[in-house]
Amino acid sequence: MSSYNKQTRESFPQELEYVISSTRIRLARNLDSYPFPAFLNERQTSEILTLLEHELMEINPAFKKYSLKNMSSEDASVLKEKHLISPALVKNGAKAAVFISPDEKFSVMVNEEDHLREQYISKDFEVFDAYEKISTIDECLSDALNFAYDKRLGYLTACPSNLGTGMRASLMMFLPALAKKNTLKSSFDVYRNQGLIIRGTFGEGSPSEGYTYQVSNERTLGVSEESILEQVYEAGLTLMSAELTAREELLKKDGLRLRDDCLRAYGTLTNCVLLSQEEMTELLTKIRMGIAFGFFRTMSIEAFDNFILEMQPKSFKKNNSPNSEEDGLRIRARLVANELEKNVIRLD
Amino acid sequence: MAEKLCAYCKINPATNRYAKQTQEGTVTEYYCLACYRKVRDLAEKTVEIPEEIEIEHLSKCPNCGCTIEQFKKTILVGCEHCYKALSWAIEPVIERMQGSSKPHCGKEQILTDKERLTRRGNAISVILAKKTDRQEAEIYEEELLRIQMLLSNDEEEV
Repeated sequence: MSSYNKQTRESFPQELEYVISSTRIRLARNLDSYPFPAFLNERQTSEILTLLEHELMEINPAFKKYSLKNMSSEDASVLKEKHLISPALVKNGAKAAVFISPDEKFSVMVNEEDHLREQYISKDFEVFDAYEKISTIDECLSDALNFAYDKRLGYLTACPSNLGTGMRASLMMFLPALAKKNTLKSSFDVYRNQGLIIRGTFGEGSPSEGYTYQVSNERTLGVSEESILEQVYEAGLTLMSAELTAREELLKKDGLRLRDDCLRAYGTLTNCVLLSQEEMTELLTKIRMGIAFGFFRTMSIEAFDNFILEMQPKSFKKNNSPNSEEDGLRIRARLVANELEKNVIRLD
Repeated sequence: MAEKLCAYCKINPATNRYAKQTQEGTVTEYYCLACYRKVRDLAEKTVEIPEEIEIEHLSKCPNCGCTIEQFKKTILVGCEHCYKALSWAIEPVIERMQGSSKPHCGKEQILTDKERLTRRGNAISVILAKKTDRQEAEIYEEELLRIQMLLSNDEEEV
């Protein structure tokens, strides 16, 4: 019998961070008396940007505004890699802007698919707290502005899939054992029937990378915010429990091969001279898996995850400015080797 | 543009025309989609089956101009008014996407007309403060004045 029966969050203090990478709460809102972003003219766009900048700066003067009009595609890609903006915001170009808090936990997109996409991201499993935090911004905006709202349909959004609460609560989860067991697909179907969706790393419709999946609510209308949060929270606990059980089983059945696979990855990454993005992604996933299975130790999994984020293509290019393709391969190999030697310790 | 309300429920906008022959001649009523269906069902159960002359669905939102074709292509509406104006096409999509037709039961934003007007007035002031073009500024000043007059008279018109 597994030692990981579904329990409360407090029952998983150590294992939590090796399964749940982050929590995100997103609220979609529109101002009344204006068409939605796709139908805005220049004057209306200017009014909305002016209004929302004023209100958001009143709420938090430390917010930094990024106008997509003036932003390079490289900078936009960096923000996309950090999940602070979406591809849809970049597509809206001159109409769009984003306001980001200094700690990069709050981001408010203006004129994405809707006038407002308020978002809070936490590196912790804190569904309810994250909602409280984004609600403080939402309440302030709600007190100052007229949102498009209908008694029956709730908050009115450009896409009917966001009506009602306008809320998407999601967890990013690292599920290598469940993925290796090939049971994840059937779990996806079970959760779908319960109104939850499980997708690859970058949200809607993209392939999974590095065994990381996004779990979020599908329904937003006819359900309350509290019930959505409960549902996502419970799904997080259930999947975490299943993943930890699957890891135990995998270790018992194939522990030696698993360890060999992870340590080979470590060997390659600490010794290679040239390293491509694809190879790095594949091997760092094995390192992360090795940390989760107890073959390695790291001071902070959050710091390790942040390192992986900084090594994403656009962020890497911006931070290191490689002179050539070979220079990039060389720099990447060096950075990864340094990081692993410093922060990832092999446990024998 | 004044919105014609459904003759049956008097709540939703009328998007369907229903005509029937009576002793006095042809009588035309306008209903929302849900009531139109009810009236039709009721009519079919009576001895006298009214003759339907024309079904009229709006194909374009009168506010933003979003067409049914645009909606079908992108599954995005153009403005808040599309949900009523094009309800006949959008409601089935809502039901499919949301998995049910349950109404909203979460956070609310219910405001009085006065509250809405006050907020709109504040918004105009913010926008006006950024305007450097005199001609443009005058348009906003006029709207602000109108709002201020409405508020001071305590009228309900929006």
